[in-house]
Amino acid sequence: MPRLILSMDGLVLKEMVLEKERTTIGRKPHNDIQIDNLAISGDHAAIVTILNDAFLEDMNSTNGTYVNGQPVKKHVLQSNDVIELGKYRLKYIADGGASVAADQDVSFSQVSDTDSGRQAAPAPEAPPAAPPAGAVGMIQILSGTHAGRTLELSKSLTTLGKPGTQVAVITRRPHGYFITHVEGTVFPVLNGRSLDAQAHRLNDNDIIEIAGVKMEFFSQARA
Amino acid sequence: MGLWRMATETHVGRVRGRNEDCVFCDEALGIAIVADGMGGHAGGHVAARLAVDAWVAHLRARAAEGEIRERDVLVAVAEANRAVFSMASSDPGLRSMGTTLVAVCLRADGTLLTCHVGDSRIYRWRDEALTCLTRDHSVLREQCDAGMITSPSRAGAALRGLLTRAVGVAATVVPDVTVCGIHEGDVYLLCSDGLTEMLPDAEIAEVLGALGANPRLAAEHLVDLANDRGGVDNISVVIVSSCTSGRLGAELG
Repeated sequence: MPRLILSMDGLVLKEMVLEKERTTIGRKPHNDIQIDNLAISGDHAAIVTILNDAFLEDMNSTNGTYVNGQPVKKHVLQSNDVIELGKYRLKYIADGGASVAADQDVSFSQVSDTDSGRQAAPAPEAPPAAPPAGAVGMIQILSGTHAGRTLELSKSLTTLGKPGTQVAVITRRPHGYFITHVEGTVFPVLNGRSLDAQAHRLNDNDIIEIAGVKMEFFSQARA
Repeated sequence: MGLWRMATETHVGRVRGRNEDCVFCDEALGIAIVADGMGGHAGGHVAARLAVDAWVAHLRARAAEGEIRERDVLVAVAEANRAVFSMASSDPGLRSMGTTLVAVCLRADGTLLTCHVGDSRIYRWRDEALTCLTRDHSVLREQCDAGMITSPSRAGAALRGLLTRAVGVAATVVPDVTVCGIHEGDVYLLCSDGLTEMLPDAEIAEVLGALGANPRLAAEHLVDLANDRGGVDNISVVIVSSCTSGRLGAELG
């Protein structure tokens, strides 16, 4: 059975089978595929499936329906077509396609000579788990017995400190690196100021002091 | 047994309009519970809330009379089921609502009672290893166990979220109840599938290993991570920890 793979920002959110003759897409809850986002109209689009063919129809949506980058009102879907509604993408897979797990590695663009009238879909975006594109945070220890040592902050979280005395964690998020106090009565010091219990964003060349040890944060482009 | 610290966190996620999960914990009673409701308009949240309230109320009453026994947990689930099922039967707007339920009771004799219906899970972090103590009551899991599919992650989404057992959808429900020993330093995680659909076990292990000593931070970070990965469903976690210090990425000194 034909399928749709819903994604946003290159991240697969959901895979759905087109089982019904008519599948509706929109913001309102009565739709078969509900996308709760203000850029999506209440009743945005519909897909009618007859035997092996699927027809996409824009239901006069405010922001329009795009297929492979082109605005459409009515469109006969072909396998691997990418339907765009706002920031959401629905990839249409006719029968027998790869399942979603294998599909994540497959490029969304489909350029072929026989299809010269169609534009290639936009290239897939960077995986959302990779924060500040291509850059990785680093810590260089400036004082104490480990002075000079650097530490790559490649994991989603890195804990630093002296057990029982003071521990802090640096978390890696899509929008940057953040430092938070974990344990101990003394809080980490950031650029000479003691932190509170909240997470604080780290900027390049910030000086952090944990358990009496000074260190510098910086980000480095990945080779 | 050392002091148990608990923290709960629940978040609507980044796609859904409503949070239909419900969480509760009580350090003094030594109980923690997560319910992931489903069905209808208001139904999901109502089911989860009713189930949690009924389960907690029953165990609170039993705990006042002495140690909680396996039987008490079974009766508490039956109470939760009755509360949801009778409400669903009497209010047409709430028809066919139901909920998952995972819960733990920490007992003074050093044993842990677990109780489970649906696809919410209980994990244990012990000796640098993460173990899932529950087996999802889902069509996907059963097909996987029967060898019909090789891996749940490769299966079509049509089966995703299809449960073989849930609280409140029939007159009775049979929970999985187990008793196991507790070790000093154990960390337990109860969560809805909004977490496990977004994060692989290895990443959950990393968070529990590093932040197990600080349940509040661990709970917040797990929810943040699930949202960073898309937050497709409601995300709920309860962390129950006796761990006193987490694993350090770098020891300073």
